[in-house]
Formats: sequence, C-alpha cells, structure tokens
Amino acid sequence: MSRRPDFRTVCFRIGFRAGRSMESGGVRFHTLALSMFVLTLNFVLIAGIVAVSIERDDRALAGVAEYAGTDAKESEIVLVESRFDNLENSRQFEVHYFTPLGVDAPLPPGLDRWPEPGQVYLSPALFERGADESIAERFGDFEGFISNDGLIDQGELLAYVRPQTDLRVDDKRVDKVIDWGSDGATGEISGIHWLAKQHDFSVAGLIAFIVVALVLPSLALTLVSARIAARRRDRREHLVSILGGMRKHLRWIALGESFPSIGIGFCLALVVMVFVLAVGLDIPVVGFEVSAEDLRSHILLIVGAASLSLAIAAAIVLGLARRTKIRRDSSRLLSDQRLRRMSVIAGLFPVSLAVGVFLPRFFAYTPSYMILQWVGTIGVLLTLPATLGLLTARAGRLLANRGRRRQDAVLLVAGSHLQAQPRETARYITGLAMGLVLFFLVLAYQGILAGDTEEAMQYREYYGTNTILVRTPDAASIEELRAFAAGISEPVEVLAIRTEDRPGSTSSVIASCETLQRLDIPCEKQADSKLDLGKIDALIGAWSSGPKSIVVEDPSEAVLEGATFLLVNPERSQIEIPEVKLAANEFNVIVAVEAPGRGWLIGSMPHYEQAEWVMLFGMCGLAIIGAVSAVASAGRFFAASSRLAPLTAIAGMSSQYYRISAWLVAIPIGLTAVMGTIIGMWIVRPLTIYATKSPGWSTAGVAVGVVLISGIVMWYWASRIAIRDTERWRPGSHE
Amino acid sequence: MPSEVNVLAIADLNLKFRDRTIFDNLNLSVRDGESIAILGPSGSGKSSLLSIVLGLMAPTSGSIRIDGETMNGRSADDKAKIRADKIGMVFQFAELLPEMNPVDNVALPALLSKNTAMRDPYQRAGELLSELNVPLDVDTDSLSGGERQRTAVARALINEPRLVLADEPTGSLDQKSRDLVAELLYGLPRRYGCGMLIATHDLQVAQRADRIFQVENHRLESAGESA
Ligand SMILES: Nc1ncnc2c1ncn2[C@@H]1O[C@H](COP(=O)(O)OP(=O)(O)OP(=O)(O)O)[C@@H](O)[C@H]1O
Ligand SMILES: [Mg+2]
Repeated sequence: MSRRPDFRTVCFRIGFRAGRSMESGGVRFHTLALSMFVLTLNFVLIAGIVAVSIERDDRALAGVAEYAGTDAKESEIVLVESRFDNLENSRQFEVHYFTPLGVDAPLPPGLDRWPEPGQVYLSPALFERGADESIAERFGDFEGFISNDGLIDQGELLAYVRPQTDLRVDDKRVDKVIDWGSDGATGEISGIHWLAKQHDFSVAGLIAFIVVALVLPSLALTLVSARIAARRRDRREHLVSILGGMRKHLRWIALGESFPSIGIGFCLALVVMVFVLAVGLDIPVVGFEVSAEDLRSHILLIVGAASLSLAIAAAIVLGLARRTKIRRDSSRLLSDQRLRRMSVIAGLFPVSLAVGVFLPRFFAYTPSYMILQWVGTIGVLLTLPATLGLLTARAGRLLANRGRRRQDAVLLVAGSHLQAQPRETARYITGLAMGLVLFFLVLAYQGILAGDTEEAMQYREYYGTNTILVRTPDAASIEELRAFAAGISEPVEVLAIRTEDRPGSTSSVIASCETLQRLDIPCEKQADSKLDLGKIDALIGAWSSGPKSIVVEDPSEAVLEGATFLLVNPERSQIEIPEVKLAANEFNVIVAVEAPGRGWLIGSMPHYEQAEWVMLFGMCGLAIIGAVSAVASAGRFFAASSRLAPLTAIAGMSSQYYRISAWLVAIPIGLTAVMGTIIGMWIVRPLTIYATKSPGWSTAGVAVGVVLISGIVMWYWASRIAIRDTERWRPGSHE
Repeated sequence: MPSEVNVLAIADLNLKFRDRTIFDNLNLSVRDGESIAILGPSGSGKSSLLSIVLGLMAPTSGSIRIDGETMNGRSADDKAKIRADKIGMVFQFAELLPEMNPVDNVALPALLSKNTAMRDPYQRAGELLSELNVPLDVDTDSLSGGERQRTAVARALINEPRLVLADEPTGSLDQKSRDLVAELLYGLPRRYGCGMLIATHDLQVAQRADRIFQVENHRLESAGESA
C-alpha cells in the first residue's frame, strides 16, 4: 500500500498549479512579486540605517579626546586646536591642527604617522568637493588622505593640519590630549567628530519617517496585490471549504499559490542586497555613500530584516486565506441614509480647508495661527474619504447618464461602476490623496527649517562678497599681511576693525587716506560718526552690530596684536572667498576668513541637506502609494471587465477596454494626483508663507508625475489583459 | 411554420485538436423561425460548435454561413461585425453587470455594437423586459435566478438578431425556472423572427425544440422532431 501523501504537500501542489494558471494575465503574480521586492528592500533599508549608524557612532567614539590631567607626561601629549571652515556650498566642517609634544603623543584616528610641519591630511570627500576651491592648498601642503576608519562616513568633511608654527601649550584655545577613543561615551560625542555628529538627523526620526512613508505603503501594496484578480481564487477557496477543506488546507493552498511570486520578488531584493553588500551604495539625490563594510559587519541584522519582511508577506497572504463565501462584489447602491451622512461630512471639507488655509492669516503672530492651521489640516484629512466617495458617486452618475444619453457603452459601464461602488474606488484614491497631503505637510515642516538656507542664499546673492572679514587672532607681521594681500588676484583694499575693550563701546573702521579715496570716501582726520558706512559696502551699512565710525590710520599696524580686517574690493566686484582662504596661508598664525552674515547660510545647511532626504524618501513613498492605487483600481476594473468579457467577445468591441480602464484606472488616479497636490500645497500655505522655501511647482510636478506613471502603466497593462482575456473567451468557458 | 430561409448553414465541418477528432463532416442548417436543440454528452463538442458559429474558433475545414453571409476567410473585425449584427447569445450564467439596472444591461449590446439604424435602445430594452415579465425598476442584484436569465434573453434579443445561440441556458436554474426559461426560449424564433440553436445536455429542455440532434460519431444525428 502506498503511503497517503501529506495534506500539506497536496494542498501546496494544488495552490502551486493554480498560481501558474495566471488569472488576468498573471497580474497578481507580478504585483505580488513587486510588492515583496519593495517590502524587502524597505526592511533591508531600515536595517542598513541601523547598521550604518552603529558603525558611525563607533567611529565617532574613536575620535573622542581624552584630555591630559596634571600628571600627564609631556611626551604623551598632542596639542589640538580646532577651527570651523566651510566650502562655498557645504555645511561647516572642522579643521584640527595638531602639534605632538613627544614621540608618545597619540595619533588621531585615520593617520598612521605624524605629518611634518606644514603638511595636511584631508578626508577624501573634502578633497573631492573642495577641488575647485583648491582645498588641497588651503591649509598647507596636501600630503594624503585621512583613512576611512578615521572618518564616521565617507562623506565626512574633515582636515588634519600640522601647522608650520607649533601650537603653544599656554594658548587658551589649545587642548592637551593624551589619548583618542572612548568606550561608550554617554551623551554628546566630543572630539574629532563633534561637529559632524551635531549635524546628524535623529536616526529614530529617520526610521519613523521611513516606516510611515515607505513601509506602510509597501504593506498596503502587498495587501492589494494579494487581493487582486481574486475571482477564480475566491471560487476555489469556496469550493475547497465546501468540500470539507479546513483553514489549514486553504493556508497551504494559498502558500503554494503565492510562493513563486513572493519568492521571485524576495530573490530579486536579495540580489540587490548582495550587490550593495558587495560594493556599497551611493544614494542619489542626497549623495550619501553607504560603506559596504559597515553593512557587512551587521550582516545578521540585515538578513534578519529581510527574513522578517518575508514572514510578514507570508502572514498577509495566509491571513487572507479564509473560508469565504464567494465574494460577489456586492454592489447594492448606497443607501440614501448613508449618502446623506456622507454629504454632511463632505460638506465639512471646504469648511476645514477654509479654516486651515484662510483663517490663520487673521490671527498672525498668535497661537491661534498654528492651532487653526492644525484644526483645518486634521479636518481636511478626516473629511477627505467621504468627500472623495461622494465625488466619485456623483461623477459616476454623471458619466452613466451621459453614456445613456449618448448611447456610449463605455461611459455607461464605467459610470455605473463608479456610481455603484464609490467607496471601493474612493478608498484607494483617498489613500493617494492623503499620501500627497501628508507629503506636502512633511515637506513644509522640513522647509521651515531649511527655508533659512534659501533666504540666506538670496541674501548672499543680494549683498555679494565684495567685502570679506579676515581675523588674525594672534599677532602677525606686516610682511605677512602684505604677502597675503598680494596673493589675492582681485584688487583689494585692506581696512581693519577696532573694538575698544570697554563694555558698551562701538567699533570703528580703520583705513588709510589712500584707501578711503579709492573707495570714494572723503578722507578726514577725525572720526566721523555721521559718515555713511554703507559707502564702504552696503552690507557694512546694514550690519547692526558692526562698526559705526571711521578712523584714518594705517590699518597694517593692527596686525601686530591680532585683529579683524576688512577686505573691500574698490571695484565693487566679488572677491573669491576660497582664494582669500588660500592666500591666508601667508600668515604663520591660523586665520579665519568669512563673508559677513555668512554664518546664517552655513548654519542652516544641515537642515537643507536633511530636506533632501525627506524629499527622496517621500517621493519613493509616493511612488509606492501610486502603485497601490494603480493595483487596487486595476482590481476594480478586472471585476467589471471579467463580467463584460462574453458581451464584448460577441460584439467584438474589446478595444473599448482602453477607454473603460482609462475611466476606472488612469483618470481617477490622475485627477486624484492633481487634486491631492493642490490641496496639499494649499493646506501648507500658512506654514510656508513666511518661509521662502516652500514646496514649489516643480516638486508638485514631480509628485504628480511619479504617481501618474503607475496609473498610466497600469491603465495600459490592465487594458491589454482584459482584451486578451476577452479574446480568449469561448462559449462554455464560464469563468 | 419555419420559412425556407437558412439563418445558419454549416457544411462539411471538420474539427480536430491535434490527433483528436471532434467533428467529422458535420452538416447543419437552421431556418428562420426554427429552434434546434443539440444534445450530447460532456466533451462531445457542443460548446465548440457554438464557438465556431460565432467565429471565435477556426474549424479545421468546412463552411459557415450566417443569414447568407459566409464567415470563411473573413477578418476578425468582419466576423465581429457579423456577430454583433446577426447573433444574440444567452449564457449559462446570466453574466449581468450587477452595478447596472436591468434596462442598462439589456441595452448594453446595442450600445456596444453602435447599431445606429436601430431605434432607441432604451425604449426597446424596456419593451423587451416588459414582454418577458422582468420588473424594471429594481437592482439587478435583487432579481431572481429566472428573472436574471430572462434579462439575459432580452439582452440577446436587443440587436434584433437573426440567430440566437444558447449554451446550457438552463444549467444554473431550478426545475421551475428551467421550464419557464425553456418555454420562453423556444417561443422566440416565431415571435421575433430568428433561428435558435440551443446546446444542452438536458433532454427535457431539448425536447421542446423543433428539431433535436445528438452529437454522435463526430456528427449530428437526428434525435427526433417535435410534433
Ligand atoms: N482549444 C482546445 N484544444 C484542445 N482541445 C479542446 C480545445 N477546446 C475544446 N477542446 C476539447 O474538445 C472537446 C469538446 O469540448 P466542448 O467544450 O465543446 O464540449 P461540450 O460538448 O460543450 O461539453 P460540456 O457539455 O461539458 O460543456 C473537449 O473534450 C475539450 O477538451
Ligand atoms: Mg459546453
């Protein structure tokens, strides 16, 4: 007697064969594979972020300084002085100057030997991004790169300099360090990477954002993919349960059916994962380089995350395998009572929009401004489903009536479908509209932070850089100052700023008579407080805490005890800051070069760069939401088209499916994309009206485009599938 | 009395699937006003015959003429046109669109075929439904099984076809509705001036036809005529 085969094998095989029959052109197979692919990559992404942040923190700890106590031996000490610098369009970075006092002084992370005096080591990212500013020559002679294990990530901007003139032990700005590295510092990370860590976006915040923007939409995509083209499957499940099949049987059938597509999606994601694990990843838009080694050192975490995504997808597929009645798309028209309730809720939609968009301006500068904005936004989100449901029903009725009047079968079929089941249609377009509104809200909030940058950039455009501030905190020689000025190719006049060491005193500009004449300012021996400093430079005139008067003297003298110089271009054209920084090498002391007011721009740069992350993940999330609505709407379309198949087969009008699916798939998605974008841009207006960086038309265009792509692809694909199914229809094939 | 005009003429039809013969020199003609039932066990080829008549399946050889027009050697579009103009079909499962009311369902083929010569399809749909005793102002979903099938019959008639095909039209009905629908179907040819071809394996249903054929030895053998 042969052994009875295990029910699992039998059921799995039934499901496996059923899966190959490819109902509706295998649309479920493909969408399920796609959703698995996306879901797995999302989980791997989160694991990757955790892995990278753990490794970054480790390396940041390796750069924490241990300061010398009173008993430290001098030969073990390295003197460190840290300065901020920046590239023209970068965030700030730190330049660390080192003077080792003895042979036992600890090398900072990323160096394997001490540079000679005057030698410089740069991080590769700084070297590359600063190439057009000749960054290699800015701090001395470029000798080599700080190795990757000394950097928190490959994008870190960092410079190590051994100055020509040794740092002095008694200098207040100089730290005495006897060792680098800390095992598990708590709180703020100090030392080499202090500034880079300061700029970090919160990892928990980033992951939370990814969960909302990417993972939830991916789960929705898995769900709608598992449900699409379910007619045959529903019958099969019904049949199996009538024949005495239990839930476990249905589960094994479902597993057998979905295994191939889920497996393929998962494997494709694994291929991508292995590729990234092998060579790393340069994330576009944000320009962050993920190191493959960082990921590899947390391989278990990443593989675990991938497996988790597989388990979740399997759970979704299995959870749907229930003993069901055949799901006849119950399509009883909405009851009048329901419609009335929906109308009332939908009526609140314009009210909410008005509260959120128009009311706040009457409460400017009071707490009510934000409260009203919030009330309006929440109201819009809550009333959106009923509004869209009602709109869908109305549009459906209009279409159907038009179809009857013009004897247009397509309008009649599509319109009746929309009218009869507005909530099914409304559900997915509501998801899409909400996704868009939330996207714009997030952009707006990030934009408030990043908005500074744009404003600062405009400010820079307006005032230009024909005035530069140069600070020499330590005494330098007049020869050095002359050599410095000679090193700048534009004509520059050197002025100094003197601040009396008295509380409440204002500072004044020191300039020679020749300089003033060249700047078209009358040369008078006495300080003239009525003098318009704006004549030197518009910016100096507008500088509220700046100098208020002019003293005629030789400014060069000021250099002898450390001073702040003003470089002014008498031709009122731009001075190249990178060139001035380069020329500052002529000083034997460390010099700071900046454009007045530039700190504003540099300070807002991290927010600006974070906005790019929000943009990147937000757009990806929108693309997934677009795919969700495309798949869901195609499911609705198949429900209608499979019933139409016999009729259209006989009438030979299968090409009408292009028009029907346009009305059921492409047009709802397209209209929702546009409408969601308009509502989104509108509702955030009170938030962005005072910030110059608001999500603009180009962002809106890209968002609509990203969503439309899936709508259009699905429109074409679903039409093709319906046409092919119709052409295959024969009498007797009662599907 | 059936007239002498053939609304369907099948001559020397052969159908083979690889080495399996389904039809071997099958001949059949259906006259205007005449109803013909084709009986046969499962797998004998009843549905295939209807597919061939509809032009949805190509026979291995043989000629098909519908209302005098040959289907042989025509393009898919031409066949579709003939199909839409001349043939109405009743399916086993009524296949109504539940989101549309019965009148819309019946009018739909007229709208699909864009038959402009026809008078208002909605008026005609309403008349047909009244004639067939289907309540007009109800949801399609709440129709009974028999009413659904009668709606499907009305839909098959909307384009004033010359030939009505039915594949197991009573297959999904209970005894009582089955009798009602059968009576209705067999009354159509004389009432609406067309021919009628019903494929079924229900002897009781077949017996009401003008002529009955049995698929035997890959052709149609006469199994009797009604009185
Ligand atoms: N495309 C095809 N390729 C191969 N064999 C086919 C094809 N279409 C039909 N057949 C076979 O031809 C035979 C006739 O099928 P058909 O559906 O016409 O039978 P039927 O008489 O309608 O049966 P039933 O009463 O069960 O509906 C069947 O055995 C079927 O398997
Ligand atoms: Mg059959």
